[in-house]
Amino acid sequence: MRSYFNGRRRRRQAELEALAGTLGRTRSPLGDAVWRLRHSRPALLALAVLGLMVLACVFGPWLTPWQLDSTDALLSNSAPSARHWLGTDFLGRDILTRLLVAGRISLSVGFVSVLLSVLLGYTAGALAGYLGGIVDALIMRFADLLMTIPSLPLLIIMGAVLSELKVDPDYRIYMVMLMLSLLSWTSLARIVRGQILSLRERDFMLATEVLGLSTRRRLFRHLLPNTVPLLIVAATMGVAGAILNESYLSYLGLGVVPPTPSWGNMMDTANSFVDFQRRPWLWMPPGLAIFCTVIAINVLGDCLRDAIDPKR
Amino acid sequence: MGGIRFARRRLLLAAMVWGLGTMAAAQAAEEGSLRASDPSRLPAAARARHDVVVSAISEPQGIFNPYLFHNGWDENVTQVIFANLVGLDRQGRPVPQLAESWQVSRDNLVYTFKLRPNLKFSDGSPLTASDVEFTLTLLHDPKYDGETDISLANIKGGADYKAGRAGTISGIKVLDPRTIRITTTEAGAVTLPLIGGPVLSRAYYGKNYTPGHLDGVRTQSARPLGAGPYVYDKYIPGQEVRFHANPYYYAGKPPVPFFIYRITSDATKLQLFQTGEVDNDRFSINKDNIEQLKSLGFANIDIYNSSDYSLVEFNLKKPYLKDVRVRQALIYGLDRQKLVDVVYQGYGSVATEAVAPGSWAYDPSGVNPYAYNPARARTLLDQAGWKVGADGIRVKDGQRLTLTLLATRKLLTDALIPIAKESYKAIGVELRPEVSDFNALLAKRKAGHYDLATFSTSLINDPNEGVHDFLTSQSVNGYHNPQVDRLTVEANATLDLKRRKQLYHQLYQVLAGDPPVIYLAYRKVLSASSARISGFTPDIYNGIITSLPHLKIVK
Amino acid sequence: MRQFILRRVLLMFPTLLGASAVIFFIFALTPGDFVDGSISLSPERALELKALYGLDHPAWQRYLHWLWQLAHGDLGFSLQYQIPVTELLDRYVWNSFLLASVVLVLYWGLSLLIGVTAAVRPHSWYDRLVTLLVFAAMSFPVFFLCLLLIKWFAVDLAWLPVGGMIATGSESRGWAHVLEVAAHMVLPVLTLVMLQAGSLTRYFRASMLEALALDCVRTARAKGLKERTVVFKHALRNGLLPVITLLGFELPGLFSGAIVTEKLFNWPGAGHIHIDTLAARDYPVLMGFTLFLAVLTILGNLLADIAYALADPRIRIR
Repeated sequence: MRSYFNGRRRRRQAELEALAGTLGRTRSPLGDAVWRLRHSRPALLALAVLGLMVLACVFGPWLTPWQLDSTDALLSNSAPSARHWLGTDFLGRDILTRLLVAGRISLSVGFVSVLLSVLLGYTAGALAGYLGGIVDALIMRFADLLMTIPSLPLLIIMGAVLSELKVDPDYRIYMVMLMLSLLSWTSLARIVRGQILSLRERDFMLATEVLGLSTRRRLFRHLLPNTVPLLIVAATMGVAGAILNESYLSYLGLGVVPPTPSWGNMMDTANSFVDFQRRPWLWMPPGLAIFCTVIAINVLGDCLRDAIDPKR
Repeated sequence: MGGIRFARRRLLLAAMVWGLGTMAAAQAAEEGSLRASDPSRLPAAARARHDVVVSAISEPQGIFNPYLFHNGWDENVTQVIFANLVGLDRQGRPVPQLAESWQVSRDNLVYTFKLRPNLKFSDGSPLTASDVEFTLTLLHDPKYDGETDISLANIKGGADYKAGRAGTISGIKVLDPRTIRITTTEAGAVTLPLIGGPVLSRAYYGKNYTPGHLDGVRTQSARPLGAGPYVYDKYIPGQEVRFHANPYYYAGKPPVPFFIYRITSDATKLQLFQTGEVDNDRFSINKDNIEQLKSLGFANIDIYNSSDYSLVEFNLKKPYLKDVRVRQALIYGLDRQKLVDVVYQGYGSVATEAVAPGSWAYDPSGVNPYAYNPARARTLLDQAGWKVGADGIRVKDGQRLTLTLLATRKLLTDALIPIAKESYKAIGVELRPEVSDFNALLAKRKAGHYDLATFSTSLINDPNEGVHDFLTSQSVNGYHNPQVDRLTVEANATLDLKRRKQLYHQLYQVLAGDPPVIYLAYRKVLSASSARISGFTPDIYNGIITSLPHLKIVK
Repeated sequence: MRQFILRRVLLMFPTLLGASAVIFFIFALTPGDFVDGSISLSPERALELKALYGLDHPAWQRYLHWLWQLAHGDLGFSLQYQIPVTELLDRYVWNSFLLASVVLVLYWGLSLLIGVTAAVRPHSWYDRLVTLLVFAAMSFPVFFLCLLLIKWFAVDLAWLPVGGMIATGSESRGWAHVLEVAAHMVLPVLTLVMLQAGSLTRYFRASMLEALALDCVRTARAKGLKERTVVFKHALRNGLLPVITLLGFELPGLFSGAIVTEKLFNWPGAGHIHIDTLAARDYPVLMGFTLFLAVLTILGNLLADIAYALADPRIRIR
């Protein structure tokens, strides 16, 4: 335990030297952040992984020789081979092709829904925390109300309405995710509000007040950047959650309508113990795909945080 | 070179799988049982139980009254506790239980039951014709909200009693403590199972009951009393239901002193069986599970026909589905054999009529099997005036042949939707699946917002249950065929099994010509029991209930 | 402070009333009702039953009726279980509570420990390993973890039971009973802790990283205090603050039950009530249970706000 902390102390020394080095440079804070991001190897690697996955999912399905939905009862559950690189599922469909097509949906669902709920939650939380008073009370009581609404029945109604309106099943999932975002921003809002409440009273914020900085400058240059770390955690957790949530939704007929694949529902169909033990090719590929996505986003988020952190 | 060899081996394997599928279809009516290969591998947990048999159940809700439950698992519990007047044999034919015998008048309207001598409830109190009268009267209570619809039995004076116009039901007459006569106004095959059901004790349930107030009886659902093989001890919600042997059971006290229903779930029932926590359970039927059970060594495996089947219903209120050629084309054009092969892996078969193999009424001869034939499907659609459009989908009078399919999420539909989409595309029909939960599916179906709807029937005890919905007066999907109406009513009003079988056979042929639904698949049931117990002979009509009095623990 | 709490408690009532109205009408709009779900009913019998259950009345009448009952302290009668809703909840909720409270203590403790130690040495191998494990646990559905644990510890090693809360047919009393339940709890607790510790660990780590960079922490270090004192006395207090809000969210979770985990381990908790009653459209239970959780949700948020103010005297409560 002791050497652990000693190591920390040594690192502080190194930080001080680095700080001294950067003092000499003159760059705008934003340019500084971009510069740091571009020179961070993990960030570039994460970007590359994400980019590669997006490219593969967008163009990959056109390159595979297999039709997305063509079934083959004779080849059901066959192991990876030269013909089917990742094997086939219980209907004899090519897993690789499905994995790539599924990526289109899962990735967009993950990003879109998280983007929306983070945007909403962050704005609401920041407003409530910073402005306080009646705005705070209104936003937070409204959030309380939203948090008590059970999402499952609401989603079932929504499924019924969407099918009544004859919305194309392939687009329904986005509407459903939209709905979920509209319900789920509340927790992030509370977290952000809490932190802003506490930041607002800290010395450095008092200093900005004394210095007479404009509200905009205080908010965007000093207050909000300090809440970014929590924001990044919430966002990365959200992406994984949304991708997996989609499979749960399709149980209720609210997610992707089969036979359209998604990473969540691909894993879901392999939920028997025997599949789990003997046929890893059914669930490993989508699981790893989600894993890579989440890790990449997280690494990117961490680097982003380091890059824009005003204190570093 | 290696590649070629590889390919050939796969072809061989494929041929084997295919063979299995067709073989199983040919033997669909046969049942099978595999004895344990190595009972010595019994897990210690099971070996340690000396006086108790543990069977499995999914989700009982604690309403242990045979007329008040809302859930099939509660029914299974009540079957252990209560005994019927009339039971069913392995083919679904009525057999005597508490009733020693019964007679039906020549006009099929009057039933006279003779009870066995000295019948007793599990508390030792006598079971007489008066208890049967009490049971049937209770079912006519205006506040009765259970699953049993006694009005289908058409007991004379029943409707008057229910409406409050009479103090008693004139059609129910206790002749002596062992004899009761029931007079009905309409002959029907469903009458006997309805009036010959489980018997409630007047002394026990009657003491808390006044007509119009069922709450007293309802509270007794947690403390049931019957005349079945075992007596209820305790229900631990979410865990298990415990019973002990009934010393007053009419066929003698069961040899195993205790019985437990342990609650299990699909995901882990195999593991519970493997570790010896349960002695008997049912599993989803597929090769994986059968292999796994065989490899345990201590499992006696029973495979038998289920009495339910899956189907796709046409909405005949849509003008384009009124055309019989379109409906026929949709059956010819669906590769149902593929579906059966993928889902049941040789332990199911393509369904052709409204009754499953294993029932006395099953007879597929002369009923059009609609073997997969896309060419025939295309011809039929052409004849009906649906011409292939620019994008490959058929068009008639400017309308595209796009059909919505309502479905719930389960293994069968996971396979059905891709297969149907693929095979219908090949005949120029576009399929739009709509997945929802079951309750929402039924609501949409009732509102008529669909073309096709797929679901499975509940377990079917009498063939009438399979065709009852096709009656013009009952049908939700707008099916109307006078010949079907006539045959259905006649077959139900006939009590002679031989004659009934003929009528149903005729009916199935008519239905095949003017199909109201696409029959998808019959399935089998996989049940396994521990080699430490002998006497399990499950079948679909009785489950393990008829085995209970005969179970023995093998030393 | 006192006035603040009083005002918020009073505000709870209109919020709950609004919530109950919204919830009720959402349920009323859901396609299908309790009677529709039964496929074998004849149309006449279905109408009879709807009248018996009062489902033939318009939704607003049913809501007022329900509200009136509630005002008399009656949550109503479950349609499918045929017992009072309170009795039904009482039957299952405490089992969920037992499981969830043990899990809560364990995973908050674990996350705190891991998150803080990871934050002290950011980007170290230890930190990276933790990050990787956290995200691996998040990338696979719950049932994989459950099945894996059952396979290892219950089937292959036979150390622990596969599922349930007690051994089949067990009549144990006293300590033997406690031990038996404890043995059955190990696997579900392990599963839930592994699943939930992940995101909390990330929150703690992020929050702690920020705290370690604070001026007061720098000052403490500059004073030459021991690193351990700096981390656990000065930084931790600040690092805990934002996470307190999360603790408020846990209150309803203690009673709501974990749907998948409870099912896979046959734990007789309340998780299945969500699914069962929604599938059967058992309105009284749905309403009762949701309202119960709504009260806990609002209460949890209130408690979090109070705890927040207590932990950080700088925050002014208005």
